[in-house]
Amino acid sequence: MKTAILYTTLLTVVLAFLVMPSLAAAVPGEGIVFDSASGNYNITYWEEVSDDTGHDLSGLSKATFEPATKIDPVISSSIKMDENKQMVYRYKLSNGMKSKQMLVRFVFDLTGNINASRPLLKPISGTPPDKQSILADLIAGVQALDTPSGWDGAAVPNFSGLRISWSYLRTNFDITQGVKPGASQSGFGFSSQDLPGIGIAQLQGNVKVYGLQFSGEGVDPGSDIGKQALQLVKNNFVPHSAAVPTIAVPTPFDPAVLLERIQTHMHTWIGMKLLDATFSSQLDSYFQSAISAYRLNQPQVGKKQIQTMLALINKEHTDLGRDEEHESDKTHEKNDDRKSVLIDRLAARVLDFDLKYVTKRMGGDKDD
Amino acid sequence: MGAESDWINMGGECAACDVYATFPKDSQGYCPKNICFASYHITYSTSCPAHAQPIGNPCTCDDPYVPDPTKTSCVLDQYSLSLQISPGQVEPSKSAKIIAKVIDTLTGQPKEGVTVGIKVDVDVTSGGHVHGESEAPRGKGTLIPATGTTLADGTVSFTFGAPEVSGKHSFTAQCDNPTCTNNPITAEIKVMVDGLSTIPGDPSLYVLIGGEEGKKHHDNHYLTDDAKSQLVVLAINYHFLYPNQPVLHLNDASLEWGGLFDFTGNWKPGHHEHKRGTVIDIRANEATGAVPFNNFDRFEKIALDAQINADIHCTSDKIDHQGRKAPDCIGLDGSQDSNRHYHIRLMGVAE
Repeated sequence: MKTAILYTTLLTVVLAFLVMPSLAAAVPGEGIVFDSASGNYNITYWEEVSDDTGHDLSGLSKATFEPATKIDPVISSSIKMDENKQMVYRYKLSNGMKSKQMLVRFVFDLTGNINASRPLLKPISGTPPDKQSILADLIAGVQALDTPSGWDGAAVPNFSGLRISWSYLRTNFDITQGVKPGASQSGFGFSSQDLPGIGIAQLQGNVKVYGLQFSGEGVDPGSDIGKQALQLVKNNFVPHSAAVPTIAVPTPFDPAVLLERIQTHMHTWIGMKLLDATFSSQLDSYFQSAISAYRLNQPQVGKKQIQTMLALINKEHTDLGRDEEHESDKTHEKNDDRKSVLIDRLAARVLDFDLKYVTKRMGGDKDD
Repeated sequence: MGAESDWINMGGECAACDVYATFPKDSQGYCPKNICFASYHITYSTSCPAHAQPIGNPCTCDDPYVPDPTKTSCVLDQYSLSLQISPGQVEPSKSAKIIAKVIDTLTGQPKEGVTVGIKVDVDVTSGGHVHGESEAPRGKGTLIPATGTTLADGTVSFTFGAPEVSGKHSFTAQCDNPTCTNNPITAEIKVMVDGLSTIPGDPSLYVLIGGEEGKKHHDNHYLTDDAKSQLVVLAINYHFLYPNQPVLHLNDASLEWGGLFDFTGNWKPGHHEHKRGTVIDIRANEATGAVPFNNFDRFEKIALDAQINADIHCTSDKIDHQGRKAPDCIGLDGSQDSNRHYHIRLMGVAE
């Protein structure tokens, strides 16, 4: 019986090695092989190693990388403007039924700012930082976030901007903890002076180790195998588009400048396949007319152009102002309107919000 | 080209240098001066000076003698050898150009056709490698070619291929002409990664380990400024989370000048990375001050938040039929692993 089990196991492994293509190979025997049975990557690499007496112990070594991407996440969001003209961002995470891992980590890399007791988004230079300042940033970052119970939130400045993260506080490396498949978790959020754009959130499932684990010195990162292994770690998340603070509102308020910024950001959606190029051109003509009108001090004309854009967007998607964060998943599914080929629903919601913000700042919904 | 006059007494006429144009003597019976190009011929009246032969007319200095500046005698030629290194400092595994130049000191002109030989040496304990050659001879890098001949501009170029190991290298050049002055001549180059400085001591945030007596390298905590900033962020975050636990214990970063970190002292690849001041090891075994097993999760999380890459390294000496088994550094048995540590890429990317 034992023999039969062993044989079956070995056969599975051997088949997996044979069927799955090697991503890279340099020294004979080296390779990274995806094991379709486990969803993990088996890394075999040449390790140059000698003992303390100089004996050469070099040979092929192995490592296993378990990706944290065996999840099927959905991010629902709501954006509101409060009475102080601050944007309030709220998010809910759902882990799809097809997920094989618990959802435990939710990250944004922002170029926009969030509201905190001290400015968090700032250039980090090579000058060794002041300890008190880092500590103050750390505390301010934690306090600036809405974080659900059982999770850990952080807003950490870095070289490229600001990283917002929420991590499930698991214990004892228990990979059964986190948002289970089919379940959801709300309560993530923050406020910002910046208008929403579309950013990419990074979501991760529950794995024992997020990096690589190697024996000895591990794989040479300069080798072909090493580069491939590091790439696996770099991409060890599931990307998901989300509404995030992106567009700074000019001070003093200038509708023409703000519209230009909204338009510039909108153009990035074409490359993200969120906006049809022809539809973007159509919107561009109204953007230009509105910008010119505000520059010529003709706010009614500008507002009219914005309203036309809003009508075009709302023709593609209905109910864009809906608060998705507090809907049940079933309602979310039921209300999911027709799929537009011209503009993605999230993009339409963001553009709808941003354009309405301009009109509100320019006198709201008062008739001309 | 010179401007000395080389007029030669030819009885009733004056012969100009080696051009052999003739001009009459002046009213005083002298030949005119200062209108002729320099040559290897000298003025004489009755016979050639020492080391010269009357080949045709005028006199010609015997090789390697040349006319002195007054063109009245033949003297040995004087060459000056110099070395230029560009750039004056080179990164490990990169190359630098070494240029030897020979100048004729009498004329100030470049000297073509002089053979120059060059060799490279290394200060065996430089670059933070205090172990010297206790384990193995130290490589000196490559130098191509070993000898060369100066071109019309008086130069000959050599290419220095720096080794992976940082350190101070010296070049000794020598020209084969016995009249070369400054011969032999030496010049130095630093093989180093620029911009590294030591991690400042701050026991409230971290403890520096790994450079103790008996180790092959005593000065093992050099980083770039950017990496130090990241390290401080990591250390403060960790200490904020665990104020009552030991601070991070920092092991090998880079050596003073970067380059290969041969922790066994044998000049062979030892630590992967640890060459450019952006990677550091943090103790994570059962030794004093290690990140405790139960803190691994949040330690990795704060590293990720700061866009720092944290791999775990441990020991796997179990061999199966294809090689070493994949280690489980997080497995409970891993707590017994004295080698376990976090291999931290502070800038989030490999060196």
